[in-house]
Amino acid sequence: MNCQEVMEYMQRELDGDLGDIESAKLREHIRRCADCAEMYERLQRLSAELENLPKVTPPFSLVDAILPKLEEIDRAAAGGGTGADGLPAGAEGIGEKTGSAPAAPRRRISRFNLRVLGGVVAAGIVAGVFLVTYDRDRLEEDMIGNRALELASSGSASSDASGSSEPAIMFGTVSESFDAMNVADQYGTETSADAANAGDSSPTGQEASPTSGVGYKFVPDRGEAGGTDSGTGSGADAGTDVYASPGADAAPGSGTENAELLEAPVAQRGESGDGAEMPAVGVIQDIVDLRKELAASSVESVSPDGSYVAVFADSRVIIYDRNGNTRFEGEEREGAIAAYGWTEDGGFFRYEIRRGDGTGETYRIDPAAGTETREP
Amino acid sequence: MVEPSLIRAAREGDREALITLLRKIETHVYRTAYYLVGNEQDAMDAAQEALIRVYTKIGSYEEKAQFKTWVQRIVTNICIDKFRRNKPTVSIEEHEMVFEGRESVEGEVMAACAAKDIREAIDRLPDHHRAVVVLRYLQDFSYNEIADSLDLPLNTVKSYLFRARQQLQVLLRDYQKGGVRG
Repeated sequence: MNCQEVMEYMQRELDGDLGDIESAKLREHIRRCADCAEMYERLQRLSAELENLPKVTPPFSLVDAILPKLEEIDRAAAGGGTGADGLPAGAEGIGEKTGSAPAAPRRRISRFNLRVLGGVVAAGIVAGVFLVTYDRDRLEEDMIGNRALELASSGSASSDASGSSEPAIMFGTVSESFDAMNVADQYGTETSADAANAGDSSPTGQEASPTSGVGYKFVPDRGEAGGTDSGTGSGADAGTDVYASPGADAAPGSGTENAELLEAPVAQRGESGDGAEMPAVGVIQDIVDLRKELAASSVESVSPDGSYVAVFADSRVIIYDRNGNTRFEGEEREGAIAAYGWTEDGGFFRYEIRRGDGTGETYRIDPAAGTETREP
Repeated sequence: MVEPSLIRAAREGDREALITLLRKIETHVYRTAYYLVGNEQDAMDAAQEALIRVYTKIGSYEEKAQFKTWVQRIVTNICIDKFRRNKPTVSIEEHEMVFEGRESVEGEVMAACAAKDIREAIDRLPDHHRAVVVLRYLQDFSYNEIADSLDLPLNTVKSYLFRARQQLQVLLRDYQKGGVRG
Protein backbone atom coordinates (compact mmCIF):
# COMPACT_ATOMS: atom_id res chain seq x y z
CA MET A 1 0.00 0.00 0.00
CA ASN A 2 1.60 3.27 -1.07
CA CYS A 3 1.11 6.71 0.37
CA GLN A 4 -1.18 7.76 -2.42
CA GLU A 5 -3.55 4.91 -1.66
CA VAL A 6 -3.32 5.69 2.02
CA MET A 7 -4.38 9.23 1.27
CA GLU A 8 -7.66 7.96 -0.05
CA TYR A 9 -8.11 5.77 2.98
CA MET A 10 -7.50 8.72 5.24
CA GLN A 11 -10.08 10.73 3.39
CA ARG A 12 -12.64 7.99 3.53
CA GLU A 13 -11.93 7.37 7.18
CA LEU A 14 -12.86 10.99 7.85
CA ASP A 15 -16.24 10.27 6.32
CA GLY A 16 -16.69 7.01 8.22
CA ASP A 17 -16.48 5.15 4.94
CA LEU A 18 -13.79 2.62 5.86
CA GLY A 19 -14.49 -0.94 6.90
CA ASP A 20 -12.66 -2.56 9.77
CA ILE A 21 -10.01 -4.18 7.64
CA GLU A 22 -9.31 -1.04 5.66
CA SER A 23 -9.19 0.92 8.86
CA ALA A 24 -6.62 -1.46 10.29
CA LYS A 25 -4.52 -1.16 7.15
CA LEU A 26 -4.60 2.60 7.43
CA ARG A 27 -3.48 2.57 11.04
CA GLU A 28 -0.75 0.12 10.24
CA HIS A 29 0.62 2.39 7.51
CA ILE A 30 0.42 5.50 9.62
CA ARG A 31 2.41 3.82 12.37
CA ARG A 32 5.29 3.34 9.99
CA CYS A 33 5.05 6.48 7.86
CA ALA A 34 5.67 9.78 9.60
CA ASP A 35 4.62 11.85 6.59
CA CYS A 36 1.28 10.13 6.36
CA ALA A 37 0.82 10.37 10.11
CA GLU A 38 1.34 14.09 9.96
CA MET A 39 -0.94 14.44 6.98
CA TYR A 40 -3.63 12.42 8.67
CA GLU A 41 -3.43 14.57 11.74
CA ARG A 42 -3.81 17.69 9.67
CA LEU A 43 -6.76 16.29 7.79
CA GLN A 44 -8.44 15.25 11.01
CA ARG A 45 -7.94 18.72 12.39
CA LEU A 46 -9.35 20.24 9.22
CA SER A 47 -12.33 17.94 9.29
CA ALA A 48 -12.99 18.84 12.90
CA GLU A 49 -12.86 22.52 12.02
CA LEU A 50 -15.27 21.98 9.17
CA GLU A 51 -17.62 20.16 11.48
CA ASN A 52 -17.45 23.07 13.87
CA LEU A 53 -18.32 25.72 11.33
CA PRO A 54 -21.01 27.98 12.73
CA LYS A 55 -24.47 26.62 12.06
CA VAL A 56 -25.67 29.95 10.78
CA THR A 57 -29.36 30.77 10.78
CA PRO A 58 -31.14 33.46 8.82
CA PRO A 59 -31.31 36.79 10.62
CA PHE A 60 -35.06 36.83 10.14
CA SER A 61 -37.69 34.43 8.91
CA LEU A 62 -37.23 34.09 5.19
CA VAL A 63 -40.63 32.49 4.81
CA ASP A 64 -42.29 35.49 6.40
CA ALA A 65 -40.34 37.66 4.04
CA ILE A 66 -41.55 35.88 0.94
CA LEU A 67 -45.18 35.43 2.00
CA PRO A 68 -46.38 38.46 0.03
CA LYS A 69 -44.53 37.14 -2.98
CA LEU A 70 -46.12 33.74 -2.55
CA GLU A 71 -49.56 35.29 -2.35
CA GLU A 72 -48.83 37.12 -5.53
CA ILE A 73 -47.82 33.88 -7.17
CA ASP A 74 -51.01 32.24 -5.97
CA ARG A 75 -53.09 35.05 -7.36
CA ALA A 76 -51.31 34.87 -10.66
CA ALA A 77 -51.81 31.13 -10.76
CA ALA A 78 -55.48 31.44 -9.85
CA GLY A 79 -55.93 33.94 -12.65
CA GLY A 80 -54.54 31.43 -15.09
CA GLY A 81 -51.53 33.56 -15.84
CA THR A 82 -48.57 31.32 -16.37
CA GLY A 83 -45.15 32.05 -17.67
CA ALA A 84 -43.58 30.40 -20.63
CA ASP A 85 -42.07 27.63 -18.53
CA GLY A 86 -45.38 26.70 -17.01
CA LEU A 87 -44.64 28.48 -13.77
CA PRO A 88 -46.92 31.15 -12.47
CA ALA A 89 -45.68 34.51 -13.60
CA GLY A 90 -43.31 35.99 -11.12
CA ALA A 91 -42.27 32.66 -9.75
CA GLU A 92 -38.71 33.22 -10.77
CA GLY A 93 -36.72 35.70 -8.86
CA ILE A 94 -37.47 38.11 -6.14
CA GLY A 95 -38.74 41.53 -6.92
CA GLU A 96 -39.74 40.76 -10.44
CA LYS A 97 -43.07 42.10 -11.47
CA THR A 98 -45.79 39.94 -12.83
CA GLY A 99 -46.38 41.92 -15.93
CA SER A 100 -48.09 39.13 -17.79
CA ALA A 101 -50.71 38.35 -15.19
CA PRO A 102 -54.22 39.27 -16.14
CA ALA A 103 -55.29 42.43 -14.42
CA ALA A 104 -58.94 41.74 -13.72
CA PRO A 105 -58.90 39.24 -10.84
CA ARG A 106 -56.06 40.98 -9.10
CA ARG A 107 -57.78 44.31 -9.27
CA ARG A 108 -60.87 42.95 -7.70
CA ILE A 109 -58.87 41.57 -4.86
CA SER A 110 -56.75 44.60 -4.34
CA ARG A 111 -59.72 46.92 -4.30
CA PHE A 112 -61.19 44.89 -1.55
CA ASN A 113 -57.95 44.88 0.32
CA LEU A 114 -57.66 48.57 0.02
CA ARG A 115 -61.01 49.02 1.65
CA VAL A 116 -60.27 46.56 4.34
CA LEU A 117 -56.88 47.89 5.15
CA GLY A 118 -57.38 51.43 4.09
CA GLY A 119 -57.38 52.53 7.67
CA VAL A 120 -53.92 51.23 8.27
CA VAL A 121 -51.87 54.35 8.25
CA ALA A 122 -48.74 52.50 7.33
CA ALA A 123 -50.42 51.04 4.33
CA GLY A 124 -51.32 54.38 2.96
CA ILE A 125 -47.91 55.74 3.63
CA VAL A 126 -46.01 52.85 2.18
CA ALA A 127 -48.31 52.96 -0.79
CA GLY A 128 -47.34 56.59 -1.00
CA VAL A 129 -43.73 55.56 -1.22
CA PHE A 130 -44.63 53.28 -4.06
CA LEU A 131 -46.63 55.84 -5.88
CA VAL A 132 -43.98 58.48 -5.62
CA THR A 133 -41.40 56.18 -6.96
CA TYR A 134 -43.57 54.47 -9.49
CA ASP A 135 -43.36 57.35 -11.87
CA ARG A 136 -39.60 57.37 -11.84
CA ASP A 137 -38.94 53.90 -12.95
CA ARG A 138 -39.76 50.35 -12.18
CA LEU A 139 -36.32 49.51 -11.01
CA GLU A 140 -36.52 51.89 -8.16
CA GLU A 141 -39.98 50.75 -7.31
CA ASP A 142 -38.76 47.21 -7.08
CA MET A 143 -35.86 48.28 -5.01
CA ILE A 144 -38.03 50.04 -2.52
CA GLY A 145 -40.43 47.17 -2.60
CA ASN A 146 -37.63 44.90 -1.58
CA ARG A 147 -36.59 47.26 1.12
CA ALA A 148 -40.08 47.30 2.45
CA LEU A 149 -39.91 43.56 2.37
CA GLU A 150 -36.70 43.60 4.33
CA LEU A 151 -38.26 45.98 6.72
CA ALA A 152 -41.26 43.81 7.16
CA SER A 153 -39.31 40.69 7.62
CA SER A 154 -36.68 42.15 9.86
CA GLY A 155 -39.35 42.45 12.44
CA SER A 156 -39.75 38.75 12.55
CA ALA A 157 -36.09 38.35 13.31
CA SER A 158 -36.85 40.10 16.51
CA SER A 159 -39.59 37.73 17.38
CA ASP A 160 -37.44 34.75 16.54
CA ALA A 161 -34.50 36.03 18.45
CA SER A 162 -36.34 37.33 21.46
CA GLY A 163 -38.21 34.13 22.10
CA SER A 164 -39.49 34.83 25.53
CA SER A 165 -39.88 38.53 26.06
CA GLU A 166 -42.72 40.00 24.01
CA PRO A 167 -43.77 37.68 21.24
CA ALA A 168 -47.18 39.24 20.91
CA ILE A 169 -46.04 42.71 20.17
CA MET A 170 -43.33 41.45 17.93
CA PHE A 171 -45.90 39.63 15.93
CA GLY A 172 -47.88 42.78 15.72
CA THR A 173 -44.97 44.62 14.23
CA VAL A 174 -44.41 41.99 11.65
CA SER A 175 -47.99 41.78 10.60
CA GLU A 176 -48.41 45.47 10.24
CA SER A 177 -45.43 45.74 8.05
CA PHE A 178 -46.74 42.88 6.11
CA ASP A 179 -50.14 44.27 5.54
CA ALA A 180 -48.57 47.51 4.56
CA MET A 181 -46.40 45.67 2.14
CA ASN A 182 -49.28 43.75 0.69
CA VAL A 183 -51.36 46.76 0.11
CA ALA A 184 -48.48 48.74 -1.22
CA ASP A 185 -47.58 46.01 -3.59
CA GLN A 186 -51.08 45.44 -4.81
CA TYR A 187 -51.63 49.07 -5.02
CA GLY A 188 -48.63 49.54 -7.20
CA THR A 189 -49.78 46.74 -9.39
CA GLU A 190 -53.23 48.09 -9.69
CA THR A 191 -51.94 51.48 -10.58
CA SER A 192 -49.93 50.10 -13.39
CA ALA A 193 -52.86 48.11 -14.63
CA ASP A 194 -55.01 51.19 -14.67
CA ALA A 195 -52.33 53.10 -16.44
CA ALA A 196 -52.25 50.50 -19.12
CA ASN A 197 -55.99 50.35 -19.47
CA ALA A 198 -56.79 53.99 -19.41
CA GLY A 199 -53.75 55.11 -21.28
CA ASP A 200 -53.42 57.74 -18.62
CA SER A 201 -49.85 58.79 -18.25
CA SER A 202 -50.19 60.02 -14.68
CA PRO A 203 -52.54 57.72 -12.89
CA THR A 204 -50.88 57.92 -9.52
CA GLY A 205 -52.56 60.99 -8.17
CA GLN A 206 -55.99 59.90 -9.10
CA GLU A 207 -55.44 56.39 -7.91
CA ALA A 208 -53.90 57.48 -4.69
CA SER A 209 -56.85 59.45 -3.44
CA PRO A 210 -58.95 56.47 -2.39
CA THR A 211 -56.18 55.36 -0.09
CA SER A 212 -55.77 58.58 1.72
CA GLY A 213 -59.49 59.21 1.64
CA VAL A 214 -60.15 55.99 3.44
CA GLY A 215 -57.23 56.75 5.67
CA TYR A 216 -58.89 59.98 6.73
CA LYS A 217 -62.16 58.32 7.27
CA PHE A 218 -60.84 55.79 9.67
CA VAL A 219 -58.17 57.91 11.23
CA PRO A 220 -59.77 61.20 12.00
CA ASP A 221 -57.63 61.88 15.04
CA ARG A 222 -54.31 61.46 13.34
CA GLY A 223 -53.59 64.60 11.41
CA GLU A 224 -50.28 63.41 10.08
CA ALA A 225 -51.89 60.42 8.50
CA GLY A 226 -53.24 62.75 5.88
CA GLY A 227 -49.66 63.62 5.18
CA THR A 228 -49.61 60.85 2.66
CA ASP A 229 -51.02 63.56 0.46
CA SER A 230 -52.27 61.35 -2.31
CA GLY A 231 -48.84 60.04 -2.85
CA THR A 232 -47.32 63.35 -3.81
CA GLY A 233 -45.59 63.95 -0.51
CA SER A 234 -42.09 62.84 0.23
CA GLY A 235 -42.02 59.11 0.56
CA ALA A 236 -39.14 59.25 2.94
CA ASP A 237 -40.78 61.64 5.31
CA ALA A 238 -43.92 59.62 5.31
CA GLY A 239 -41.95 56.50 5.94
CA THR A 240 -40.24 58.08 8.87
CA ASP A 241 -43.56 59.07 10.21
CA VAL A 242 -44.81 55.55 10.41
CA TYR A 243 -42.03 54.38 12.55
CA ALA A 244 -41.34 57.55 14.37
CA SER A 245 -44.85 58.28 15.50
CA PRO A 246 -45.23 55.36 17.87
CA GLY A 247 -42.68 57.06 20.04
CA ALA A 248 -41.64 56.13 23.49
CA ASP A 249 -44.93 54.65 24.56
CA ALA A 250 -44.34 51.78 22.18
CA ALA A 251 -43.36 49.77 25.19
CA PRO A 252 -44.38 46.17 25.05
CA GLY A 253 -47.13 45.02 27.32
CA SER A 254 -50.29 45.88 25.52
CA GLY A 255 -50.66 42.19 25.37
CA THR A 256 -51.60 39.20 23.43
CA GLU A 257 -54.61 40.61 21.70
CA ASN A 258 -52.36 42.07 19.06
CA ALA A 259 -52.19 38.88 17.20
CA GLU A 260 -55.92 38.38 17.14
CA LEU A 261 -56.66 41.91 16.16
CA LEU A 262 -54.26 41.70 13.33
CA GLU A 263 -55.32 38.34 12.20
CA ALA A 264 -58.95 39.19 11.80
CA PRO A 265 -58.74 41.43 8.77
CA VAL A 266 -56.06 39.30 7.25
CA ALA A 267 -58.19 36.23 7.44
CA GLN A 268 -61.12 38.16 6.11
CA ARG A 269 -59.10 39.20 3.17
CA GLY A 270 -57.94 35.71 2.45
CA GLU A 271 -61.46 34.42 2.22
CA SER A 272 -62.90 37.41 0.53
CA GLY A 273 -63.66 36.00 -2.87
CA ASP A 274 -65.85 37.94 -5.25
CA GLY A 275 -68.30 40.66 -4.55
CA ALA A 276 -67.65 42.21 -1.17
CA GLU A 277 -68.28 45.72 -2.28
CA MET A 278 -68.19 47.16 1.19
CA PRO A 279 -66.38 45.87 4.23
CA ALA A 280 -68.58 44.56 6.97
CA VAL A 281 -69.00 46.60 10.13
CA GLY A 282 -66.88 44.11 11.99
CA VAL A 283 -64.09 44.66 9.61
CA ILE A 284 -64.23 48.38 10.14
CA GLN A 285 -64.03 47.83 13.84
CA ASP A 286 -61.03 45.64 13.25
CA ILE A 287 -59.43 48.34 11.23
CA VAL A 288 -59.93 50.85 13.99
CA ASP A 289 -58.39 48.40 16.42
CA LEU A 290 -55.63 47.76 13.98
CA ARG A 291 -54.92 51.42 13.75
CA LYS A 292 -54.70 51.67 17.51
CA GLU A 293 -52.25 48.84 17.54
CA LEU A 294 -50.21 50.51 14.92
CA ALA A 295 -49.83 53.54 17.07
CA ALA A 296 -48.45 51.36 19.83
CA SER A 297 -45.76 49.72 17.82
CA SER A 298 -42.35 50.60 16.55
CA VAL A 299 -39.49 49.04 14.76
CA GLU A 300 -37.42 47.08 17.16
CA SER A 301 -34.87 44.36 16.81
CA VAL A 302 -33.41 42.12 19.46
CA SER A 303 -29.78 41.09 19.10
CA PRO A 304 -29.14 37.39 18.43
CA ASP A 305 -28.05 36.65 21.97
CA GLY A 306 -30.82 38.76 23.47
CA SER A 307 -28.41 41.21 25.07
CA TYR A 308 -29.71 44.30 23.33
CA VAL A 309 -32.82 45.72 21.80
CA ALA A 310 -32.51 48.31 19.09
CA VAL A 311 -35.51 50.59 18.70
CA PHE A 312 -35.99 53.00 15.83
CA ALA A 313 -38.34 55.71 16.97
CA ASP A 314 -38.50 59.48 16.64
CA SER A 315 -36.08 59.27 13.73
CA ARG A 316 -33.31 57.88 15.85
CA VAL A 317 -32.00 54.53 16.95
CA ILE A 318 -31.81 53.79 20.64
CA ILE A 319 -30.24 50.64 21.98
CA TYR A 320 -31.23 49.22 25.32
CA ASP A 321 -29.60 46.39 27.17
CA ARG A 322 -31.53 43.52 28.64
CA ASN A 323 -32.13 45.48 31.82
CA GLY A 324 -33.75 48.30 29.91
CA ASN A 325 -30.82 50.68 30.36
CA THR A 326 -30.02 52.89 27.40
CA ARG A 327 -26.70 51.86 25.95
CA PHE A 328 -26.71 54.07 22.93
CA GLU A 329 -28.81 56.89 21.64
CA GLY A 330 -28.31 57.90 18.04
CA GLU A 331 -28.71 61.22 16.38
CA GLU A 332 -31.90 62.05 14.56
CA ARG A 333 -31.72 60.91 10.99
CA GLU A 334 -33.68 62.40 8.19
CA GLY A 335 -35.32 59.63 6.19
CA ALA A 336 -36.82 56.23 6.78
CA ILE A 337 -35.12 53.19 8.14
CA ALA A 338 -34.96 50.93 5.11
CA ALA A 339 -33.13 47.90 6.38
CA TYR A 340 -31.63 46.92 9.67
CA GLY A 341 -30.36 44.00 11.63
CA TRP A 342 -27.78 42.71 14.00
CA THR A 343 -24.54 41.23 12.85
CA GLU A 344 -24.38 37.54 13.32
CA ASP A 345 -22.26 37.75 16.46
CA GLY A 346 -24.62 40.34 17.91
CA GLY A 347 -21.74 42.78 18.22
CA PHE A 348 -23.14 45.47 15.97
CA PHE A 349 -26.47 46.85 14.93
CA ARG A 350 -26.53 48.05 11.35
CA TYR A 351 -29.22 50.10 9.77
CA GLU A 352 -29.77 51.87 6.55
CA ILE A 353 -31.45 55.22 6.21
CA ARG A 354 -33.04 56.15 2.92
CA ARG A 355 -34.63 59.37 1.85
CA GLY A 356 -37.23 60.05 -0.78
CA ASP A 357 -34.64 61.38 -3.21
CA GLY A 358 -32.94 58.00 -3.26
CA THR A 359 -29.97 58.98 -1.14
CA GLY A 360 -29.12 57.23 2.07
CA GLU A 361 -26.47 55.94 4.36
CA THR A 362 -25.71 52.88 6.40
CA TYR A 363 -24.61 53.13 10.01
CA ARG A 364 -23.13 50.64 12.37
CA ILE A 365 -23.63 50.89 16.10
CA ASP A 366 -21.38 49.20 18.60
CA PRO A 367 -23.55 49.01 21.71
CA ALA A 368 -20.71 47.76 23.88
CA ALA A 369 -18.62 50.80 23.09
CA GLY A 370 -21.63 53.09 22.72
CA THR A 371 -20.41 54.35 19.37
CA GLU A 372 -21.86 54.73 15.92
CA THR A 373 -19.94 54.85 12.68
CA ARG A 374 -21.13 55.57 9.20
CA GLU A 375 -20.21 52.85 6.78
CA PRO A 376 -18.61 53.86 3.52
CA MET B 1 -36.15 15.85 9.39
CA VAL B 2 -39.44 16.53 7.59
CA GLU B 3 -42.38 14.18 7.96
CA PRO B 4 -43.40 12.49 4.72
CA SER B 5 -47.04 13.23 5.48
CA LEU B 6 -46.31 16.94 5.49
CA ILE B 7 -44.52 16.72 2.18
CA ARG B 8 -47.37 14.74 0.71
CA ALA B 9 -49.95 17.24 1.90
CA ALA B 10 -47.91 20.06 0.45
CA ARG B 11 -47.62 18.28 -2.87
CA GLU B 12 -51.34 17.74 -2.96
CA GLY B 13 -51.98 21.45 -2.74
CA ASP B 14 -52.37 22.05 0.99
CA ARG B 15 -50.99 25.56 1.17
CA GLU B 16 -50.68 25.59 4.94
CA ALA B 17 -48.66 22.40 4.80
CA LEU B 18 -46.47 23.89 2.15
CA ILE B 19 -45.78 27.01 4.20
CA THR B 20 -45.03 24.84 7.24
CA LEU B 21 -42.70 22.83 5.09
CA LEU B 22 -40.89 25.94 3.95
CA ARG B 23 -40.45 27.01 7.55
CA LYS B 24 -38.91 23.68 8.37
CA ILE B 25 -36.36 23.87 5.61
CA GLU B 26 -35.54 27.55 5.58
CA THR B 27 -32.60 27.27 7.96
CA HIS B 28 -31.09 24.41 5.98
CA VAL B 29 -31.56 26.31 2.78
CA TYR B 30 -30.07 29.46 4.20
CA ARG B 31 -27.09 27.66 5.69
CA THR B 32 -26.11 26.11 2.41
CA ALA B 33 -26.60 29.41 0.63
CA TYR B 34 -24.54 31.23 3.22
CA TYR B 35 -21.52 29.01 2.77
CA LEU B 36 -21.89 28.83 -0.97
CA VAL B 37 -22.19 32.52 -1.69
CA GLY B 38 -20.05 33.69 1.20
CA ASN B 39 -22.07 36.60 2.54
CA GLU B 40 -25.28 37.14 4.41
CA GLN B 41 -27.09 39.41 1.98
CA ASP B 42 -26.63 37.24 -1.08
CA ALA B 43 -27.38 34.19 1.05
CA MET B 44 -30.74 35.66 2.05
CA ASP B 45 -31.56 36.53 -1.53
CA ALA B 46 -30.55 33.12 -2.79
CA ALA B 47 -32.34 31.30 0.01
CA GLN B 48 -35.54 33.26 -0.56
CA GLU B 49 -35.39 32.53 -4.22
CA ALA B 50 -34.84 28.86 -3.46
CA LEU B 51 -37.83 28.79 -1.11
CA ILE B 52 -39.99 30.43 -3.74
CA ARG B 53 -38.86 27.82 -6.20
CA VAL B 54 -39.70 25.04 -3.78
CA TYR B 55 -43.10 26.65 -3.37
CA THR B 56 -43.78 26.79 -7.07
CA LYS B 57 -42.17 23.50 -8.01
CA ILE B 58 -43.37 21.27 -5.22
CA GLY B 59 -45.68 19.57 -7.67
CA SER B 60 -42.71 18.38 -9.65
CA TYR B 61 -41.02 16.77 -6.66
CA GLU B 62 -41.19 13.02 -6.95
CA GLU B 63 -41.09 10.92 -3.85
CA LYS B 64 -38.52 8.56 -5.21
CA ALA B 65 -35.95 11.25 -4.49
CA GLN B 66 -35.19 12.37 -1.00
CA PHE B 67 -36.88 15.66 -0.24
CA LYS B 68 -33.81 17.12 1.42
CA THR B 69 -31.57 16.39 -1.55
CA TRP B 70 -34.19 17.83 -3.87
CA VAL B 71 -34.23 21.02 -1.83
CA GLN B 72 -30.47 21.21 -1.67
CA ARG B 73 -30.26 20.77 -5.40
CA ILE B 74 -32.48 23.79 -5.85
CA VAL B 75 -30.51 26.01 -3.53
CA THR B 76 -27.09 24.95 -4.82
CA ASN B 77 -28.18 25.52 -8.39
CA ILE B 78 -29.39 29.00 -7.60
CA CYS B 79 -26.25 29.85 -5.68
CA ILE B 80 -23.89 28.56 -8.31
CA ASP B 81 -25.81 29.88 -11.29
CA LYS B 82 -26.74 33.27 -10.04
CA PHE B 83 -24.64 34.33 -7.13
CA ARG B 84 -21.15 33.14 -7.83
CA ARG B 85 -20.34 35.02 -10.97
CA ASN B 86 -16.82 36.44 -11.16
CA LYS B 87 -15.64 35.17 -7.82
CA PRO B 88 -11.97 34.29 -7.77
CA THR B 89 -11.20 30.74 -6.85
CA VAL B 90 -8.02 28.76 -6.57
CA SER B 91 -7.53 26.08 -9.14
CA ILE B 92 -7.56 22.54 -7.95
CA GLU B 93 -4.94 20.13 -9.21
CA GLU B 94 -7.02 17.91 -11.41
CA HIS B 95 -4.47 15.34 -12.54
CA GLU B 96 -3.23 14.00 -9.23
CA MET B 97 -3.58 14.15 -5.53
CA VAL B 98 -0.96 16.60 -4.46
CA PHE B 99 0.93 15.19 -1.58
CA GLU B 100 4.45 16.45 -1.21
CA GLY B 101 6.33 19.11 -3.07
CA ARG B 102 3.45 21.38 -3.89
CA GLU B 103 5.37 24.62 -4.06
CA SER B 104 3.52 25.74 -7.12
CA VAL B 105 0.13 25.17 -5.54
CA GLU B 106 1.23 26.86 -2.39
CA GLY B 107 2.51 29.83 -4.27
CA GLU B 108 -0.76 30.10 -6.11
CA VAL B 109 -2.71 29.76 -2.95
CA MET B 110 -0.63 32.31 -1.12
CA ALA B 111 -1.04 34.74 -3.95
CA ALA B 112 -4.70 34.18 -4.57
CA CYS B 113 -5.76 33.94 -1.01
CA ALA B 114 -5.28 36.49 1.68
CA ALA B 115 -7.74 34.51 3.73
CA LYS B 116 -7.08 33.99 7.38
CA ASP B 117 -9.96 31.78 8.05
CA ILE B 118 -11.36 28.45 7.03
CA ARG B 119 -14.55 30.10 5.81
CA GLU B 120 -12.65 32.31 3.49
CA ALA B 121 -10.66 29.32 2.37
CA ILE B 122 -13.91 27.52 1.53
CA ASP B 123 -15.01 30.56 -0.38
CA ARG B 124 -11.98 30.15 -2.60
CA LEU B 125 -12.78 26.63 -3.64
CA PRO B 126 -14.26 26.04 -7.08
CA ASP B 127 -18.05 25.96 -6.99
CA HIS B 128 -18.68 22.25 -7.00
CA HIS B 129 -15.86 21.47 -4.61
CA ARG B 130 -17.26 24.00 -2.23
CA ALA B 131 -20.76 22.65 -2.66
CA VAL B 132 -19.58 19.15 -1.83
CA VAL B 133 -17.84 20.38 1.31
CA VAL B 134 -20.88 22.39 2.38
CA LEU B 135 -23.28 19.49 1.91
CA ARG B 136 -20.93 17.13 3.69
CA TYR B 137 -20.24 19.32 6.70
CA LEU B 138 -23.16 21.70 7.00
CA GLN B 139 -25.92 19.31 5.97
CA ASP B 140 -24.28 16.08 7.15
CA PHE B 141 -24.99 14.48 3.80
CA SER B 142 -23.57 11.13 2.75
CA TYR B 143 -21.66 10.68 -0.48
CA ASN B 144 -24.82 9.40 -2.11
CA GLU B 145 -26.95 12.26 -0.87
CA ILE B 146 -24.39 14.73 -2.15
CA ALA B 147 -24.34 12.96 -5.51
CA ASP B 148 -28.13 13.19 -5.70
CA SER B 149 -28.15 16.83 -4.73
CA LEU B 150 -25.51 17.92 -7.19
CA ASP B 151 -26.40 15.45 -9.89
CA LEU B 152 -22.82 14.19 -9.94
CA PRO B 153 -21.50 10.63 -10.12
CA LEU B 154 -20.55 9.17 -6.77
CA ASN B 155 -16.88 8.96 -7.67
CA THR B 156 -16.83 12.58 -8.70
CA VAL B 157 -18.30 13.55 -5.37
CA LYS B 158 -15.57 11.69 -3.52
CA SER B 159 -12.91 13.10 -5.73
CA TYR B 160 -14.18 16.65 -5.22
CA LEU B 161 -14.47 16.20 -1.50
CA PHE B 162 -11.02 14.70 -1.13
CA ARG B 163 -9.39 17.33 -3.26
CA ALA B 164 -11.23 20.10 -1.52
CA ARG B 165 -10.11 18.87 1.88
CA GLN B 166 -6.59 18.58 0.68
CA GLN B 167 -6.67 22.08 -0.70
CA LEU B 168 -8.12 23.41 2.52
CA GLN B 169 -5.52 21.56 4.51
CA VAL B 170 -2.80 23.23 2.48
CA LEU B 171 -4.39 26.59 3.08
CA LEU B 172 -4.65 26.03 6.79
CA ARG B 173 -1.10 24.80 7.01
CA ASP B 174 0.02 27.96 5.29
CA TYR B 175 -1.81 30.03 7.81
CA GLN B 176 -0.16 28.10 10.60
CA LYS B 177 3.21 28.55 8.97
CA GLY B 178 2.57 32.23 8.70
CA GLY B 179 1.82 32.27 12.40
CA VAL B 180 -1.68 33.52 11.75
CA ARG B 181 -3.36 30.64 13.48
CA GLY B 182 -0.84 30.29 16.28
